[in-house]
Amino acid sequence: MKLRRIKAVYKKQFADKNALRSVVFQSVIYPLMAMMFSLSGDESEKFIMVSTLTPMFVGSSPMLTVNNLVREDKNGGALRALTLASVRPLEYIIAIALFMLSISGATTLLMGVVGGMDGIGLMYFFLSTMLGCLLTVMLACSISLRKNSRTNAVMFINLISILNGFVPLIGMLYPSATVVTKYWYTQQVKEVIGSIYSGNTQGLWFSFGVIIASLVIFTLLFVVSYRKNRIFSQE
Amino acid sequence: MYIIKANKISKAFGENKVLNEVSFSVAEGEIFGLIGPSGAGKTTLLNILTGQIKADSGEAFVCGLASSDPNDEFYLSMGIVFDTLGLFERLTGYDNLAIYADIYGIGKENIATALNSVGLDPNNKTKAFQYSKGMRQRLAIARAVLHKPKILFLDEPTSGLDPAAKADIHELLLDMKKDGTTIFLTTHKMDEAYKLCDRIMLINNGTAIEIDTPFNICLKYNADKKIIAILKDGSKKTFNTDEKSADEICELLKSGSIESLHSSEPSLEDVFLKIAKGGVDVNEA
Repeated sequence: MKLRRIKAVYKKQFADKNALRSVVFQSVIYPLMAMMFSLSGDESEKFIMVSTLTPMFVGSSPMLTVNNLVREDKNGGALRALTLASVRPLEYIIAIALFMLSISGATTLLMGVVGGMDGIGLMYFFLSTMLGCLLTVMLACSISLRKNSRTNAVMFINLISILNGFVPLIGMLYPSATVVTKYWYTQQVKEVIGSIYSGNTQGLWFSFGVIIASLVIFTLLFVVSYRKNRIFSQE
Repeated sequence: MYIIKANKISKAFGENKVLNEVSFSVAEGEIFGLIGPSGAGKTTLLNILTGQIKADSGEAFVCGLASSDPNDEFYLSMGIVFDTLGLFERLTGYDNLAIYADIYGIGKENIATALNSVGLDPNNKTKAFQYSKGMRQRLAIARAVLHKPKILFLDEPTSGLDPAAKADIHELLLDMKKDGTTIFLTTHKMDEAYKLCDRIMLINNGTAIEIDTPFNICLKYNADKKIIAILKDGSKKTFNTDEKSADEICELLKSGSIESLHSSEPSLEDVFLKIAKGGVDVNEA
């Protein structure tokens, strides 16, 4: 693995200004919505907006973006050209993931500021959302690697991203469902936000525990998908 | 010295056998053409040689490195232009190559050299998607030669180009050959193969039918072995290659009634068509 190749693919994402604009817009829309809906409101409204929109962003936006980027490169032949220029599949995926995490990092910081967080609270918020985004990116990569057909991948990714983003809402509307949803990372991102606003940090251990456990499981899923990867294959 | 060596390459996709024990070698500095009808196995063979897919059996080496296990050195030894080109459409030609310069870890000064070598302006701010087909093809070639590879693989390099753009690409490839680059190209354009290639391999249904110079292959398939005389009165007379015909030709020459003399070996296109229609018995020629 060569760092310069990861850097080159990472830089390419920023060089493509049109694609960058659409990725930034797709991400920034979440904190902007949170800002709009909580402008005239008090702290509780801010909490509702931030705790609803952040898991939605974490669970769906990186997934849709990563899939779009990979599919565009795949379908236009750029992915093949990169592979033939010695870029390894893992290097490409790391570069795309880093790009997405950079955009997500800026977005979640903005979301935290809109939500009125600072200090240690902002740090917990940033850590949980970034880990959440990383999990979503890994999930997106795992699906993209397995699905060779563009239609299949888009359909599947759309479905998963909606479900992923809406898990905390399901948990909110049907409290009995939290028996299951509490083990899903987007639900725990919401719980972290709740803990920050309430000042009760007792539940953070469980939240981060679920997120870290998900990281282990998703890494295994990614490894399996990577080994069976079809997207880089010409066969 | 051989820069490509393929030994009994076979490949099947499910029940469909695409390549059947194909063996050949390409010498350093030559333009080698892989010719065959659609579905003959050209692209599959190219993909195997460039390490994109693995052969079911047999082995291939490029610059002495096994294509079944491509490492960095393997990829750095070659430049590839394939059918979809794979350009970064929303970037300029320069920016496209800048990404690859970073990937290869080479200086940015090589970008202008590569673009100039294919007749593209490094300062052109036009995005790749706004380029003409010929310019896109040239940009893809510039990308392929950016890191000065030993061998250039081209998959149908003039497909869809107008005659002027095609002639430009031909000139460019012949210039590259003069500079010592080995070129391996697949094409189904016989004029292109005849004009560019030092040697060609005719392939049909996954089997190599012929490997030789285009001229020798045409000679080999000259089953009729006739001599055609165009007479000054505009008529055409066909002769055999026997002694009696030789005398007749001499008489006509002496009488000054011959405008021109032609041999009747088939064009490469005729040979290709014969092969594509399956009318070739390998032992026939």
